[in-house]
Amino acid sequence: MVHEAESKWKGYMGRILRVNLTDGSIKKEPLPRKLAENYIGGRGFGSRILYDTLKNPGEVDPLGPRNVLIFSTGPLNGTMSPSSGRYTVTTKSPLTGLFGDANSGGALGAEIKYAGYDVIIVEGRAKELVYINIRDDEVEIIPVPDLKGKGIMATTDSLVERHGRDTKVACIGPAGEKMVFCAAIANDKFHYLARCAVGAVMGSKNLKAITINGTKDIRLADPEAFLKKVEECYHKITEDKTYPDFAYYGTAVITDIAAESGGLSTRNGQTGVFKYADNYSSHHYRENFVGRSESCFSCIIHCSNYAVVKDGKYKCRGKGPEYESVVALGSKVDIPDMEPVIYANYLCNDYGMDTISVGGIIAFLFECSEKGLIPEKYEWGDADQMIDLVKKIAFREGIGDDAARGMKYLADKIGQGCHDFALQTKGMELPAYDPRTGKGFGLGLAVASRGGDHLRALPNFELLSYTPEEGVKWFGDPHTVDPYAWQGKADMVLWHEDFAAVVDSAEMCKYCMFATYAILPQDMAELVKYATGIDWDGKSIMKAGERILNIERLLNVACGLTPDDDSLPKRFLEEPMPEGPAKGQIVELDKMLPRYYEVRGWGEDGRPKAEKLQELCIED
Amino acid sequence: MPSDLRKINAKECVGCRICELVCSLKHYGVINPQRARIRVYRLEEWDEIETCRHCKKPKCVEACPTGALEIVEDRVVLDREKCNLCGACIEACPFPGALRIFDNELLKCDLCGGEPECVTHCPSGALTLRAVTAAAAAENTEI
Repeated sequence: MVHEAESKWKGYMGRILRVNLTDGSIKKEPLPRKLAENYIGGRGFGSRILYDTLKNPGEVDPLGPRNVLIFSTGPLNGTMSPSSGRYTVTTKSPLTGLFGDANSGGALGAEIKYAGYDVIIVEGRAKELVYINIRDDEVEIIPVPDLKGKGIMATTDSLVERHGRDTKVACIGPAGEKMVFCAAIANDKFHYLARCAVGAVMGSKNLKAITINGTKDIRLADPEAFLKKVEECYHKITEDKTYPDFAYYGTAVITDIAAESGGLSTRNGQTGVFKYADNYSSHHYRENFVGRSESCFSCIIHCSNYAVVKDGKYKCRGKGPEYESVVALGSKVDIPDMEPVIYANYLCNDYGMDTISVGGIIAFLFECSEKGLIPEKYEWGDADQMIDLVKKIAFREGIGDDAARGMKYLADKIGQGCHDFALQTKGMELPAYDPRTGKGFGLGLAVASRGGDHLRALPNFELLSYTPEEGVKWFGDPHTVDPYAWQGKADMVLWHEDFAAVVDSAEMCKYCMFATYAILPQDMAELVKYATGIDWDGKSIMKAGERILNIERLLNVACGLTPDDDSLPKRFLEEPMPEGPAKGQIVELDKMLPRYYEVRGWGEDGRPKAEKLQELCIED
Repeated sequence: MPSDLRKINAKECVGCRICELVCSLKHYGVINPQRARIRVYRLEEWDEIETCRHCKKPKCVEACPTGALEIVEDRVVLDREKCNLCGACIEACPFPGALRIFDNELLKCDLCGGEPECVTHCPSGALTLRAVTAAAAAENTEI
């Protein structure tokens, strides 16, 4: 039976599930209307709920029972809105000690909605290893000692067998159980909430998995208008010139773009020119390793791939590496061929680890070895050493035990000036793209609210060969289309950050709008409005995006963040790119940051000013 | 008069499940895969598409004790009034999952009367329409 209060909700399910693992209590609470009207859903819900839940967030131990793990969906999850298979997990990150979240595709987000919830909040800590089984209104906490130490693949298979093939599983692997700071949460086997060590928080709660089965209806405010808008968006996406390649090759096309622009991070970012780039090309990868394309829930782009290494010592089959993983485990360590990279990616998947962080740490260790700062001997391009380190980090063996605490911890311990090339920001390992070949990217990485991350801003506008006139039209400055220019980038990055917050909160995939700019804030507003009946327009929904950015900033400031943390390693700020198309480039962060703070309405102390908070109606 | 049948090519399926969503919205005005008359299950290296094939010699029609299932033009259609949910059709059907009972109703594809929403919205070419010839209809009954 649908509760009367719930049935009033359109697009949303109207309920929050709260599970306390310490005392075993399970509560179903109404979704506050104000939350939906101000924070949209997904990431916005997670950020606001974390802000309200962690009193004195600076004093909360990320791995202690006071921290919470918030699984949140958006109003578009579960619908046929394009690429609406994302969802968010929010927590205080043990990797950064700050606000943290991770976002993943697959079909689990939709299943949370079908089970009748918008948000699942996990509190406390279980005494033994357990999982939470959700079948609509029935929720139970079940001990699961037999899955201790099991990988993602075996864990998922086992739980699907227990609860039926419609079951969606989110789980951690051995890395999460061992609270490795690279640990991810996997859902549907091959999709990963990878960043900010959310898997370590799940491990700290003794929570191995969440299994979900849902049979409830999602009601729409205006089904006819919604479907019409969805079809319009489908057309916009498929008619874009980037669509055919992206749908066929997936994110490997970004590897091609990075190689062409001299930004394919090589040997821990010593250069952006990778001499084995041909072995990594989208064409080579697709023809030699890809079994087929796969999509996330309700996605027409289907950029994922199922990869197979047929024989040899790297034999494996499973979800293939994305661009980020290819760079992290491949070019950053100077690995000549793809087979070991696919294998290392497979291992990270099964152990439940973030490939960006793992690969970043390995590349850093290789450079420390090259410079003689550590006793271990690593040779660039030695795939077996790379794979060995993946295992050592997952199981915290030898040097892997220190590495499992993150790059910043390692760098602090090694010292001797190695921070200059420790590619991390706010404690989180930086992603693939070399920001010296895109200055807006550099600013975005430096200010990202969850630490060194490209998806908070993703300012592809500077990379897509728009004309200077278009730069003026969109962001009031012709330089915004020039990847090497710093001028105008603060305003451009700010727009991208606000829009990304909107997209993350409605829970669509950014590839729909940040690869093509075919779908814009007005489109997002209409999709959410027709789904929910909440009267969004392009302007008000961007304001919500800005509100979410500022809530995250307030959390970070409360956790002790200062303007010094909005930075990049010296490699990008002072070491000019040595060769290739971007030769001589550095990131002029000091020229962009003051303007960024100014347009954000933040003081020199990095705090949002009182006027800004008032304007955004953020009450303490 | 519908002259096309739906062709299912599971090898082309990418597992997006948009077919399930448009199906439930079309027939029930809500989104719920459990109400969909087509289901997609992701296996490791391919997807299984479960839905009625509208066989030329349908076992379900033979098995139905109440005459609720019958062949109309090229399609096998359900008269919900006559259905007593006995499940004989489900047991007789050679395609697992093609027929299901959910929420006290037999879920049975009716090809939306000739323009199936699942085919219209399929982004990968897994679901297409083709003109019905005797040979094609026969092929359609093979797994």
